[in-house]
Amino acid sequence: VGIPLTDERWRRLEALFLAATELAPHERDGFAARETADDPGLASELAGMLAHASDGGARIARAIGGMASAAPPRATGPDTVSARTASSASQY
Amino acid sequence: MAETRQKGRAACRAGKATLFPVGRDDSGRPDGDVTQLLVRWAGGDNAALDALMPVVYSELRKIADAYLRRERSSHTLQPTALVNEAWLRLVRQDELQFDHRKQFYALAAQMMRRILVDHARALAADKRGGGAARTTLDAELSAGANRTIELLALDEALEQLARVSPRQAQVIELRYFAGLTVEEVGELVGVSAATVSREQKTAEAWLGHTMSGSPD
Repeated sequence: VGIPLTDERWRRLEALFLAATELAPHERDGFAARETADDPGLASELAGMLAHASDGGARIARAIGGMASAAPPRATGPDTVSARTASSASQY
Repeated sequence: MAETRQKGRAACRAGKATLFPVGRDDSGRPDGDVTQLLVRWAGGDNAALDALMPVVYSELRKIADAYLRRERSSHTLQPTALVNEAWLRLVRQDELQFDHRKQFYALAAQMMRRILVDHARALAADKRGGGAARTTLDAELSAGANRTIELLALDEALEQLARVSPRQAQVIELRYFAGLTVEEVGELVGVSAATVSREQKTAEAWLGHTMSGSPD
């Protein structure tokens, strides 16, 4: 997806992401646009990360916790378990 | 740790081929030696790690297979629970210190991830091959199939992350596949709990975004 990540790009992305999440929600887009004006690829990565700032963990937990129900075709109640896994994983 | 990870992967890939002869001690545990191997590994004996990996892999695999085969209507597999189960079954906890536990969990996290990914790949291959007719398309698009794809997308994204920030990929592995706390992860990788939290937060957002962007 997009431009390959390099060490330097990752460090910049991480710094911008953390700085953006410190801001009030209505200030984030403006900040992100200003800081990445010279780099559309970075702008898109940062926007994507901000969009998943609160649900990334739940998505990971869902991907991992859903494996058992992937074995038999019938799947029930995974969201409850995923939510529980997610909440226990984010208790820090 | 990087070397350990490399070895862990190699052992996971070799999997069944490198089965260590498993004995039983008086307690009926599959291998009482795991306890001693952990102590020797912590003391810097890398040969102990080589012996340890196939035993832990095989036990985890066995526990995971049992879960994955069992039809459980109201439960889904929680890797952290399986790692706990392996810990309880393999190790005499009273003889070990906290550091040994963390090492065991770090090793088990890598293996758990590999086992689940291999399982997901097998499921995906099964659906592509074997003359699965188009009429089963609905079933393939079921929640289960989607989650198989999600896990493979996560694995791929974690590989990408590991190339630029190995520690962050490891933090995710330890938190999600072994269930270590932020404090335990911090002690294991040698940074503060606050750093672990911050790195986890960034990694989660990036992984969530990257998993969404992958079409398959």
